[in-house]
Amino acid sequence: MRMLPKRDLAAELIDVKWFQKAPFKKEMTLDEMLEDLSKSSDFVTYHNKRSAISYTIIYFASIIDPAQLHRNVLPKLNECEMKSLEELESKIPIQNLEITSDAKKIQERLMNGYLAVRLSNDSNVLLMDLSLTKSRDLSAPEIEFSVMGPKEGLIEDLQTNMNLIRRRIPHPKLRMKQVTIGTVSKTKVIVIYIEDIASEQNVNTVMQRLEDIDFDIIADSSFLGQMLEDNSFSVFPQMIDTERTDRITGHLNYGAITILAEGSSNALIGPINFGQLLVSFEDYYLGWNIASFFRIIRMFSIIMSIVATPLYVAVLTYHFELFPSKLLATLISSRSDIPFIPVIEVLFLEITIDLLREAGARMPSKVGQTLGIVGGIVIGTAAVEASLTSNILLIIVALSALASFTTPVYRMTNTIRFLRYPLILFAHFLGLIGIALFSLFVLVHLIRLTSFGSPYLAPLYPPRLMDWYDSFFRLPYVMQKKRAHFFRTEKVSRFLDKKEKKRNSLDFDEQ
Amino acid sequence: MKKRLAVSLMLCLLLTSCVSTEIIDEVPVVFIAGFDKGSEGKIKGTISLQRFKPNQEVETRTFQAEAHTSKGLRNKLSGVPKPITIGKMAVMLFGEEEAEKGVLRVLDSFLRDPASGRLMYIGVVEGSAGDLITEEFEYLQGIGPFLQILIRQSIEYGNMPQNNLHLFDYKYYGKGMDPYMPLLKKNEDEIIVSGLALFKGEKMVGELDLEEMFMFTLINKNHKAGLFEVALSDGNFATLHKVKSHVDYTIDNGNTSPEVSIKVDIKANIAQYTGDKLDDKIKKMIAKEFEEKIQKDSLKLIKKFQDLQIDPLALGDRARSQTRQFNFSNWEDQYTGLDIKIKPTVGILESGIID
Amino acid sequence: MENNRKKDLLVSSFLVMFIIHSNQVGVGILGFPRYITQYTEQDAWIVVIITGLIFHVFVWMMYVILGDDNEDIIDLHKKWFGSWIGGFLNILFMLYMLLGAVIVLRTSIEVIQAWMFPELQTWIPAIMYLLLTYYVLAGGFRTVVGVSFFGVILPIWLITTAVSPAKFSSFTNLLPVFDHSLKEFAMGIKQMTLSYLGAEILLFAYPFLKNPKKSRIWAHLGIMGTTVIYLIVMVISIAFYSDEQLQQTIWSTLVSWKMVELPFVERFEYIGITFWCFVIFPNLCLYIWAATRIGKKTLHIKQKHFSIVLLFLVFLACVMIATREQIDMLNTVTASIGTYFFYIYVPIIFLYSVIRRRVTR
Repeated sequence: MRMLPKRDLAAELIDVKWFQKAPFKKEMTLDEMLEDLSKSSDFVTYHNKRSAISYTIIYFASIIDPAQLHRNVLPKLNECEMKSLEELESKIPIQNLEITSDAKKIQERLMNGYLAVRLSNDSNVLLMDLSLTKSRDLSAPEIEFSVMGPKEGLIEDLQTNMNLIRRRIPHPKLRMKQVTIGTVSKTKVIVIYIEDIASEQNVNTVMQRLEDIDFDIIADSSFLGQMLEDNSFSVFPQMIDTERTDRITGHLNYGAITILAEGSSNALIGPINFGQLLVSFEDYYLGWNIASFFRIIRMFSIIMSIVATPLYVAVLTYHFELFPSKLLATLISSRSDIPFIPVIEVLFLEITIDLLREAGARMPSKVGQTLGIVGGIVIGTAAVEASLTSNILLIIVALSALASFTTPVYRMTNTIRFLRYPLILFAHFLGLIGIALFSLFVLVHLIRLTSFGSPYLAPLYPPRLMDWYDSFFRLPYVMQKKRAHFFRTEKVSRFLDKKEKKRNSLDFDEQ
Repeated sequence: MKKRLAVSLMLCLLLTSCVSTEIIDEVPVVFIAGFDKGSEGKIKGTISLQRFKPNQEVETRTFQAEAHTSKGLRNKLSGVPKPITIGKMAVMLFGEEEAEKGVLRVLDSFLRDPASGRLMYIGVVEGSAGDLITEEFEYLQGIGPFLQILIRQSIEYGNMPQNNLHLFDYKYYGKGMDPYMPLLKKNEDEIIVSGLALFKGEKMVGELDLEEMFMFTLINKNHKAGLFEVALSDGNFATLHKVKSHVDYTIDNGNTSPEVSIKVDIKANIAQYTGDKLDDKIKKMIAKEFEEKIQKDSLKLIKKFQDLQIDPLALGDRARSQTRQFNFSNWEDQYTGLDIKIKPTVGILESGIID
Repeated sequence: MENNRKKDLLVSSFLVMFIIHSNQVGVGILGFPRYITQYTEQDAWIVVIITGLIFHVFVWMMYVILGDDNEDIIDLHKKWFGSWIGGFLNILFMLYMLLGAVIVLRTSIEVIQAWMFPELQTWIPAIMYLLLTYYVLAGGFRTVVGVSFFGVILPIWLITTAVSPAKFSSFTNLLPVFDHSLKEFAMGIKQMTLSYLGAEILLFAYPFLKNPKKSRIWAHLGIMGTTVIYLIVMVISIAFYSDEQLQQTIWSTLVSWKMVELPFVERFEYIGITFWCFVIFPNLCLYIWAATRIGKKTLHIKQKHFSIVLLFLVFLACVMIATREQIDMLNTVTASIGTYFFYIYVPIIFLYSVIRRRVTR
């Protein structure tokens, strides 16, 4: 780590390229390297002296496919009189063959399940791909469940994931570029985009940022997400994590870029804007009018979920005049036995709900369900009976918790739940004005936020009416003629417009 | 550094609670207040607090105190937990004596206080307002909400002209008009609306009974009134309902010798008729007799206003709106002697589902 | 690359509508009717329209002054009057902008204090607002414009609440039309000018527009929007209040919100004030932004540092102003400065620019 100068710490945190690579230092020779690796017990070096020219085969037993070794490699090695590696290369029926003397490269390949053949003590080796990957089978997406539409989710195997995506877009311009990241994990990361549609500038930004990453381990693509984001201090997700292949396909087609990482069942999509966090991909399978209606409901529920309990605190603490007299009577009588001020009451219930959620997420799914019911019903009723909270608040809290789960993007759900707490505190100290000031802060933050340099609040601000066809509502596909300006795509048109003239000339009763 | 400073400042702010709270179940909520003339020129104030119990029951308690100002009353009300909030006050009542002395010394503090609503109903009680509030009626929600509903229904479905704190204030300050308030009365074990209290400026100077109030409502503004019983010359009675009036005031020569003519167009349905058969002839007769009644009664009403030198019909204001460079002092000189014509027309729309 | 980056800082030209509109509509709208009706009574709404039209002329003049080169008034001052006189003029401008910011902030805090929290100390909301302002300024002009955009869009629905007081209004109050002398109208227009102040921000925002020449129509639309909103408020106020009553009411718009009664909300003024925080915030940001621009161009201090100084000054000024009279006095002072600015300075410099351009050609 660099020594931080004394001045602005926070600015430093942003400015310093924490994860940028340092130049590579020391070169190892092949023999040193082999000796180093042989400290692992699954590392095999088998030296055969009986053949015409003695050879050594080198591999990690734990990650190669023994069946292939016995069927394709060993017989050939013994059959031919090996004069050179080139000759051997032509005989062995495996695709990925390579001759090199680069120790670093050899080490890398060995770690990835390659087998190396070395003749006598030649510095060249023949590398062949015998890697064996074990992975679970394809399964339906669990986080982003949908009733309609394909039930195909990504899995932890990169090859399978790439296969799933390319099968959905058999387009010659679909590009997949590989980057290896992680000094320890050496994770393969694939950047996918459609050339011509995705803006070159965005692709370059993503590639550049990926290549600059210097970190030890990339356990999941969400690691990358946090390192790639424009503002990592923000609580708002600037990339979408998804496991749905249809969602990936849709975004690729608009001009977004998808990032896959080996061993991760989530893909990252970017750039995104705030509106896309409200989009469930099921919206595209329902009719446009119904989908739009539910999108608006979802938007409303997000707002409600964030402000409902803060409003309760503000109004009950400062502005009870806001309630009509009849409602007031109900509220006061429900609160009349409660010993706490509203903010304590609300925090108590909110934290209870979050506890339930956390506990439910950590438990095996069957226990989790029971926990939810037990927590919801037993704790809720008991709290009301014991006069710790008012039953009206219980309804509000439960509703806003429910509303927060309508968000289709999981990371956004967390953001919503998080935002509530500061808002409750502000509501307690300055009532409605506190809520307004904090909302202003969030608004300014959102205005300033970008995702790969594209404004986060687009198409609302900067306002682009042309992009609105698929934002807070969704117009029919006929009206989605152009790709959103947001992605800065060059190929704007999605299909040719054929109907315009014909439609106007028809009258009623004319077909 | 800047960010850290900002964060610590914010924390400071949050840790020091900066304003005093008014937590909903801790502040006493006043729904109704009454003001009477007290001793030595003081105001005697009576408030009624609602206490809501967890089982949705309501308990009402009343308090009384005397002071020179209505704000001062709040201090004097010992025995009531502070701060007393008037934010939800729905009804304000004045005793007759206090109303005759002038209501502004009380109203001023309510108009000045941003917490008070302007849709609050105000009314005059025949006798003492304090006695009415302290009286134990058997209203489920307490007297405050009951009176609020009573007055609101009378305005919406009954024969009472629209009125509230704002409109009183409007007419009090407006030139060429005078305010009024509903007049309430205790009748055995219930409260009834007994008419309209007329004000000259801030002082009550007269009153209208229920029938006069109906006439007033009909000719004052476009209004959808409630029921009215017409006594016919043949001894039968007809009840009109959904009486809708459309008024049109024409005032000529506002600055010289004003001529006022009021066209009242009334549409009504017949709800009941005590005679045998209700045919077209009888309908016409009912309409005709109703017209005559309006003609006679409203002229009497206007005469009454002129004698009291008040203008609840806002004739002065209507004259202003129809006259360029209107001269108010000239109008006021001539008002009491004005000749005012009324032309009512009554149309019967429906007469129910039988003849 | 440099050019490209510069281009990223610009905003679409139609946003000038929101910039001008949001800078004009501020706290004034909560109470302006009584100052105008003082002179012209039921004809006050005509004054609103006439003043609006006058400001259309001013906007046209400002566009002529700014000319075709992408220069703001700060550059022009320097170019035309040299760095000493021009610099002096710029500093005056800066003080005026600061005054505007102080008034906006202090008056809005006064509204909060008068209506919601009487015990609230001025420094608390002031410091919150100013920290937020710094956060906005740090995001650059695009963020400032974003704030003014949302400052118009988010509270726009408040207009529909005009329906409620209309139920208790008598629109005959608007009659007879044109019943006042020219002198009374002139007095009304002079008063009304204060509410229309803020259009001068165009002189600073101009070079930040993507297509400055095409922005003309939008600037006029911005003025028109302001006129329409003021007109609605004025008509409702005249009809809702009787003449004397309006003179008594300091915040007439807020009082008329007391008439709103929804099934779940009464006493709408609290919600109104809450949303007003969104309306006045762009004012603050735009004024201080303009002031920091002047600091950067004439005093050559980085906006980064200069804005902190300015925010601190505004803060001090706000805390020191304590009473209603002081606020009123400050308003009167700003009103007269603003009036002189528009009715004397703008026409003079307009003529100067026309003549100068003709001579140089």
